[in-house]
Amino acid sequence: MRSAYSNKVVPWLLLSPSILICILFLYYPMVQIAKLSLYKVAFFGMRMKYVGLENFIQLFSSPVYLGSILTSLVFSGAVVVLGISISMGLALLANQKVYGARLSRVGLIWPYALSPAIAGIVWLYLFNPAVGVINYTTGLLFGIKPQWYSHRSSALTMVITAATWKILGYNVIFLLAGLQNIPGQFLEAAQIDGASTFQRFWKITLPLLSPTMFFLLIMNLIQSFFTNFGLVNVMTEGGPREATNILIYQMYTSGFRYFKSGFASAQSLILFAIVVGLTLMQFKLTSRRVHYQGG
Amino acid sequence: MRRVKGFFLRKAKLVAALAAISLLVPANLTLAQKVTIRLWHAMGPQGPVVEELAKAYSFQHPEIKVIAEFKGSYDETFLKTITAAKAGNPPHVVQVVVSSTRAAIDSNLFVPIEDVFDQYGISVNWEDFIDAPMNMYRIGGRLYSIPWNSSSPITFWNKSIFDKAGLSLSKKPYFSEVTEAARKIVGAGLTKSGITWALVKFFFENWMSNMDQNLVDAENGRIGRPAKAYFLSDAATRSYGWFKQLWDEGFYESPGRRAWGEAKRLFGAQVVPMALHSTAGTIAYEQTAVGKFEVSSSYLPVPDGTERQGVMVGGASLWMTKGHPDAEMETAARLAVWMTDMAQTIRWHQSTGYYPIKRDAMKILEREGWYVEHPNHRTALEQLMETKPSRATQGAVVGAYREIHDIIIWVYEAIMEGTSVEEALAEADKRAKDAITEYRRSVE
Repeated sequence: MRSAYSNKVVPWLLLSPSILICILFLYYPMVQIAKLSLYKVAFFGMRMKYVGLENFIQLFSSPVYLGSILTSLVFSGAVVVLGISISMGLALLANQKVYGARLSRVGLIWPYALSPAIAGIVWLYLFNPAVGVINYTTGLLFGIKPQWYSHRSSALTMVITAATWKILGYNVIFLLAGLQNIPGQFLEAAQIDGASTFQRFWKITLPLLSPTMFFLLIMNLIQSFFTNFGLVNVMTEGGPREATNILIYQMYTSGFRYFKSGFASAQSLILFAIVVGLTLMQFKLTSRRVHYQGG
Repeated sequence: MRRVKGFFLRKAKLVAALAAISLLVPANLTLAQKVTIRLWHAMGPQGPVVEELAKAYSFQHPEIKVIAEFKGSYDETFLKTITAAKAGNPPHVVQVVVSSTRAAIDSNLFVPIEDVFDQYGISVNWEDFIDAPMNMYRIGGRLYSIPWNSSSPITFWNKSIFDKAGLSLSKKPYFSEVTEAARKIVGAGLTKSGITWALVKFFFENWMSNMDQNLVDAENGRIGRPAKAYFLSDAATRSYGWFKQLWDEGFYESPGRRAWGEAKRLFGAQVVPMALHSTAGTIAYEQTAVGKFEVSSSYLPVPDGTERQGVMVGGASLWMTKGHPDAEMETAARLAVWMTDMAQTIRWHQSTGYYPIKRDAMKILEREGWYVEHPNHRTALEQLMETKPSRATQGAVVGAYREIHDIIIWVYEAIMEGTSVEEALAEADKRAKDAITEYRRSVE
């Protein structure tokens, strides 16, 4: 492959702004974090004491932290699975040529524009035990009004609902685009040959959508680990009793509420390792199943 | 070519002319010579009053400009102060919450305020101040900060609904009286639930102090660094025991963690006829009830048969950061003193509900008959005046206070999910020990 540039220096010059930003805002902080994780730090570096791997040992023997890892996996798992399956359904519906399809598409995609904190507040008030719409409805239909905020399982449900709703918009855009890229002839040919709707979906649509879904799986996973900090902070603050204490929130608590920067740095590294690990695992497991059109 | 050259030359001449003219116009002298003092605070609903105070001071002293900035919650304000200090540009005066006292000392960001006053020859008559806040902020014999907004918990109750039920809450209620009132009012269908309060450490701390129980050892952290918290004490068990009783009978409505605003909203919407809150919310509570019902107030309820020891001082104080030029330090110190002068302290008290921290303020307002129309403002003050000085009422000094705060909330939540009080407190005791040990490791 021949380079488009005859001069060897010019490509590097053109890349240098991006590289500089990456170094300043990504790589240098990461090196600092790796260093800080080996210290007990008070007040953002006012005092520092070298302790080697003690922070890591403490984390892995702390029930609260291990619980946080489990909570994160449950939370992310639920958000990813629900997010993709529900948006798959929504995308299929939105793809139909019916009256008002265009308008519904806008409506479906719109939540993506909201920040997680706003999505959190909206659902917080919907779930409010005293005056929320959800409790009003369940009260009418079933005669019960659950205390959403005060129980672990209900609080987790609340947070998962809000996070899933938030991510539907993102998924729907990509899935819609993917659906519209499927050549109509395949589906027509299958229909003529007598395939049922379900068979058409399972054997044709889904495989052809698999690159999109693979991409979405990874993006949803990353998003559910990181961007939902605002949502959790607004809705439950990690509670009740660590029920919604996802890893990123635990990190915030350690670093910014308790001012334990060394501890939080160690957590940051562990979180990074977990997400990278999950992504790699996904690549290994599912990339074989992804069917790329056109070779 | 000539046209282009001429173009640039003409533009250059224009720019030069404008520059010359701008030099002739008198520069903004006041900005260049003013001393700017930055005050960071965490007063949300009371923010406008702080703004007015800042403006008033700037107006009275034309050579000084006071910029008061709202920085979020107490924790956020403290956090931002640390990061500003690391960047080399901290604010001059910071409002730090009482529980962060130990952390503030350990952070090395602040100068003990008594030292600043001594250095610049500013004399303050400490005798004029009410004892309780002075006792709180004096550590190891030195005064680190000047008390400013001090508060204690009181009970707000809906007099209109109580009248309908034929009841009245006594001035110094016991737990059983409150439970009974809740039972009757909810039983009569007048409200959905009985009482609410934000899930914070405030009320628990004051139950402990009322029962003369230190929160942490080392004499509440006053003679050395503590090693544990007294979650296994009788006082703690009784406090949470009452909470469990209210919850099990359906009389406690949970607003959520740290949800002061939601608690007020529940009271205002008459979902509950009683609410425990800080006296700092007096004006807010009265405003939320305007046109709907009458608000009365009583002391914090205590366990039956307890001889009230009194309350500890909540709220915050003003600290001064290091590293400013002399002129600014002196100006900032004088500002801090001014903010606690009689006129300001009275105004602050009247506009918010925080106590006036000067002894004579209460007498002045009584003479003026102000309390006749505002009886709720008196409640917390009287409760404070009846407080007996002891380590418990002096308040705890512990670096890991934030963690302990979260642990106190954790116990509430555990109880709401059915854990027994003993189990929850046992776990709390363990967590508190770990947190305190961890904190000490990082600063010692």
